[in-house]
Amino acid sequence: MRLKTSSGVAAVIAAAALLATAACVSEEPASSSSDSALSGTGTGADCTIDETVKLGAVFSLTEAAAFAGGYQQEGLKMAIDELNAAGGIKYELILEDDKTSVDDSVAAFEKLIERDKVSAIVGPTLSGMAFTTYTDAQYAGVPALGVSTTAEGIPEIGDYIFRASLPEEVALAASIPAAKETLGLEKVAVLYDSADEFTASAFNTISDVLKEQDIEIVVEESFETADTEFSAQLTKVADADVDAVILSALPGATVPLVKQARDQGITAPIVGGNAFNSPVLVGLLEGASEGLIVGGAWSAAAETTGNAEFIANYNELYGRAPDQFAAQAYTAGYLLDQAVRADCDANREAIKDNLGQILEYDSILGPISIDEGGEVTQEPFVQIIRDGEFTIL
Amino acid sequence: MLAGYDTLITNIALAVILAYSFHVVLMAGQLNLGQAGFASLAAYTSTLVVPTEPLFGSLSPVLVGIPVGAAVGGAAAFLVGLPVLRLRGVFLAIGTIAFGEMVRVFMTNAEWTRGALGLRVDKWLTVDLAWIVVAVLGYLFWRLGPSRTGRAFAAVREDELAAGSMGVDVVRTRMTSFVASGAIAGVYGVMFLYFFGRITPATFDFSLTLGGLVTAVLGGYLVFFGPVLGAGFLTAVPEIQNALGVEAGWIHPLITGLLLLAVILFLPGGLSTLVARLRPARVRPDPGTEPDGLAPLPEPGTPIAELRGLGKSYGSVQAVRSVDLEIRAGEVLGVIGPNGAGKTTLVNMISGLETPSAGEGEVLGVRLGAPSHRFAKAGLSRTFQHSKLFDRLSALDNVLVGTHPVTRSTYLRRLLWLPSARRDERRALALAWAQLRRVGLADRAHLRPGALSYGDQRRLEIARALAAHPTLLVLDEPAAGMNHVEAGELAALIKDLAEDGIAVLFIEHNVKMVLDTCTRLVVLNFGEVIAAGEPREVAADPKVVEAYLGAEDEESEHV
Amino acid sequence: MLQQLANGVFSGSIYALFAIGFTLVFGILRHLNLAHAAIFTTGAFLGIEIATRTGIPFWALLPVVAGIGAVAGVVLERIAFRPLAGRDDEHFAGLISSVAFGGVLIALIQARYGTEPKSFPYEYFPNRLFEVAGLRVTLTQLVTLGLALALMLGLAWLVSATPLGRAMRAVAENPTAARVVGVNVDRVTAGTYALSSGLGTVAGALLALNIGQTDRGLGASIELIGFAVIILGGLGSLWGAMAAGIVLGLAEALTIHYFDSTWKGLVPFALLFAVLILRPRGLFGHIKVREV
Repeated sequence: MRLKTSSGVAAVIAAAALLATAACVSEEPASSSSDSALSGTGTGADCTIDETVKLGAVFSLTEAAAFAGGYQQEGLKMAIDELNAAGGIKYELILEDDKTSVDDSVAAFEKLIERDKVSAIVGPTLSGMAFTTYTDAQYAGVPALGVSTTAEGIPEIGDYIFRASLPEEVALAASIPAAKETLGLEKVAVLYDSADEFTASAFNTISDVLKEQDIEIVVEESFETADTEFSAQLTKVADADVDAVILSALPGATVPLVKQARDQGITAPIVGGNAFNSPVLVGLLEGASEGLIVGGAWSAAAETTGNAEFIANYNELYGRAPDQFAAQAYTAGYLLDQAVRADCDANREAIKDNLGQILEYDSILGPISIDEGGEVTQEPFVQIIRDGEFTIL
Repeated sequence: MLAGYDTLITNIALAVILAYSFHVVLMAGQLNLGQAGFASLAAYTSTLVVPTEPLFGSLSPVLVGIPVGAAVGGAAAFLVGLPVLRLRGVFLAIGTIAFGEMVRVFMTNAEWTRGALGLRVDKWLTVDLAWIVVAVLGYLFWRLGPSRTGRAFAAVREDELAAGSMGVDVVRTRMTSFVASGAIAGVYGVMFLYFFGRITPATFDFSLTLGGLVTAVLGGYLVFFGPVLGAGFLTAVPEIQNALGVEAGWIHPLITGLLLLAVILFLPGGLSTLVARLRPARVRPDPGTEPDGLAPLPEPGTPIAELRGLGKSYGSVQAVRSVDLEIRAGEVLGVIGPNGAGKTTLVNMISGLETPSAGEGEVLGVRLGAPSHRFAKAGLSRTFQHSKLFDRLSALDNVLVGTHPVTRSTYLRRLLWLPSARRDERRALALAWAQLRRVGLADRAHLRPGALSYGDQRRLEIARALAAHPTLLVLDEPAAGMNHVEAGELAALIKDLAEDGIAVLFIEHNVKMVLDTCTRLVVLNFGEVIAAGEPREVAADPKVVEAYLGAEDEESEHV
Repeated sequence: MLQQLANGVFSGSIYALFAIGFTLVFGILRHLNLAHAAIFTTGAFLGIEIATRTGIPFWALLPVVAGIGAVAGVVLERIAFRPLAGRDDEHFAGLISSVAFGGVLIALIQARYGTEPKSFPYEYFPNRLFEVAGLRVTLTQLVTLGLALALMLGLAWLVSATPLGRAMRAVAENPTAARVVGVNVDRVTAGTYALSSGLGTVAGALLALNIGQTDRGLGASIELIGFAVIILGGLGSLWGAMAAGIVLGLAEALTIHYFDSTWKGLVPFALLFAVLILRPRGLFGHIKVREV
């Protein structure tokens, strides 16, 4: 109040000067300091590192995507516990909840990178957050490994960005031809969630794959993530008499959609992607799940290395059956361990260099490779639900 | 900056900015919940105009985005406001929510927004720039508080009817707050985009709106720094839980919810109440000077109002019918009549609160039917039958609102610290204090109306009306509920005012007081003038006696 | 086409079910109860848990759920609304306290039921399919529509013909005057919340049965449509809410049928916006609009 005009003017000038400096954008390169205590002796299985290796994880443990984050947390924890029991390297897992929100996700990455100084980060749960958090991880030079970020364009963010999650287009590119072969598809209906980026992106893939396979889309209907009533869309599907219905939906909408489709008298087989791949879904759908065709990165029925033990141990530890989210997060723990052991070095640079070199690692997802671009390669599993069980098609 | 906390600190800044877009409407008592829509429009539009490279080699492109966001958000709010500002309360809230949802669905389906896949841009917003924007907003709101515009906001929030009668243009004030809200939401949208580098239509959804509202109310919207408190609190709670080792999961939202509930229940006015307890509000002291620069009142005897055949009906009920009346400067005109005779309806028409359904008239050069603030500007000032004081303002601030018609806007000049703004504020203060002294409330200037006795509240309302330096003062049953000592003081005050040249029109049941003070008396019954003239003659008129002793009409009056 | 009309009516009956409890509180007390969505979700989870644990039949389940819902409603009113009565910021604070209460409920649901969706036990409700003249209708749809109508009738009777209903109408008209003439306003307020939340929980359980599952977002997914319904129907008009729910359901179904399902989401809000501008008291409203 007592400020005189002259000092007011001075304050304005000072503020302007501050603004000018604050508004400047600087281009600092990522610093790649390495800590010699994080490199150990021996190689591969014999590698020992004295220092505890800190790994970060960001999952959605609350709010909308908690259905996935819960499994991921459990799967990754289990892997880290097993690795610690195996000895040689001691891992410390620092887990953050991004509350299914972008701001918390970015803040969690910052905490792990800047304050906890982790060697690598697993997560986040949703591609939508990965697009913004991964640019930060790239900038800071911290390797990040996605376990459920299946959207197009994720590994392209940079050379520190990797994923062990089968892209949706690969899953669909496998399940649609497989379905075509078994069922002889000619005319299909496509139903997709237009408000969610994962499903909207998958819808684009579906359209492309169907075109490649010479399958005609006779009905194309959309809905929004929070919808629970689909009868109007399904009536159009029922009227069209299609050979199959291809669905791109999150688990929340999948159950009512499939149930209502059966109620409307749609008997055509239903084909879906990654999001279908959950034992909970089968439980929720009960009888209606019969005949669903699902393409995914993991199958409970697959006879891959260690899969049976994984399922048994998971059931024992958490009292529920694992799903694909759990399996992929579990695998991510082993992939990181592989990358650390390759040079027996848990520095960020070493992990980055070695994650991109993983070739045909024998995991519960089957042989899995990650290339230097950060993209995963693995065989998708196409499954059909028969008698309430996932069966490999 | 604190290394490793940049995002956290910027998140707080963004939350503060979002909360300010609610703060500015809550200050004016409007429940606008369309911020998500304004932010979305602004953010998506900015992707079309903001350059992808730094300006002049080193300046952040967000410097272009921020004004664009403010302009888009403000313009959208103006266009939406034109129809929706006719709504109030919950209806306004739901109408604006509907707007926000429409924007979201539109952005999901538009091609250029890439729908649910979202847009990606480079991250150009730094933590410093975010806090500079917060500082600018904080400054704008700090200077707004004790300015004429700030008082208009508060008056509209507390009581739109009374605010209008004090000369505040209610429609314009509501629109101003609405547009400001849209502009700030637009800035928020752009800053969000360039901090996180990515938006999808679902970024700006209903939960974003709820979050902003919660932050603004939690912090408190009666003080300028409320949003900072709210955002700080909501960021600190989860961080503290993390620091205490509370495992991520359901416990976090549970504790946050419980704390939020506790603050709302035990701290009316939000967290700012705590600060107010530490530092009790100062009442701006009496400058002691006599108010200057007031226009002279018209010569006694000049006609200032003329009504011809005035009538008002509600459906089939005729509240007032064919009233002819002239009011002259300097006279004290009493209006009496049984309950339901139409007295209040008559003065409501004269002061612009109700539109006549028949007849015409002019008061201080303003035709009847104009909005109430026009009459106030012209020199009419009034009190209400049931006092309509601004409950959350101190007695002094109540009276300061009254100075609205005789002061100039000071806000923009206050932003620049111009000495003339200070002079104008001191003058308003002098006006207000003079009226408080006049009605004998100077020692209670810091109290809220609720803490005053009933008689004091009525006198405060008169002081507020007098602060407008009225030519015509309308008092609706000012002595109701006063004891006779107080009523006697009031009568003396009215005579005093008349001597100063103010015309007084007052409705009163206390016949003795009317006879003591009035120079002329009008008697209404069933909406019609049944007698008019010299008070004592009128009082003796048999028709008047009959009207008073006859069966009383039970119909109640409002306002 | 006929099928689409039927679809519209059925989905509209769900909107109406959500909205009647909502509009009751809004119409009588002018509170915008933002915890209603959480109460609704609670009803869905409770219904599933009770059905799974006890196996009691469907017709017995709903009263049990309603009873618990009513208690929750009383608690909600006690904690989140009554302490604010008479405060200057009553209406703004009520929004926040109900948001907070809803947040606490959802957190408790996550604590008890975890993060996964839940569903009723297998074949808990015989979901028979009827085909009449090419029209496919399920038993759950018929039951939902029937219950929506029955609850509406019951509520309408309660409001118009019982002492509680009379007291409610008095409070709706003018709380101060109601108090003066001897109405126990506190009790009526608590009763209104009990009724509203009882209806809300039943509606939640019914929707969960209809769609086959529930998750924590069930209430939030329908909340915004609920806003549209109470305004379209007219302030506190129960029949208005029913009619508006069905109008919205039909409008959505017809948009999907004749236009494009991507624009379906716009329909309720565009309609709402238009009605607010053209006819602020709602399509069926007649009660005087009171300011907040």
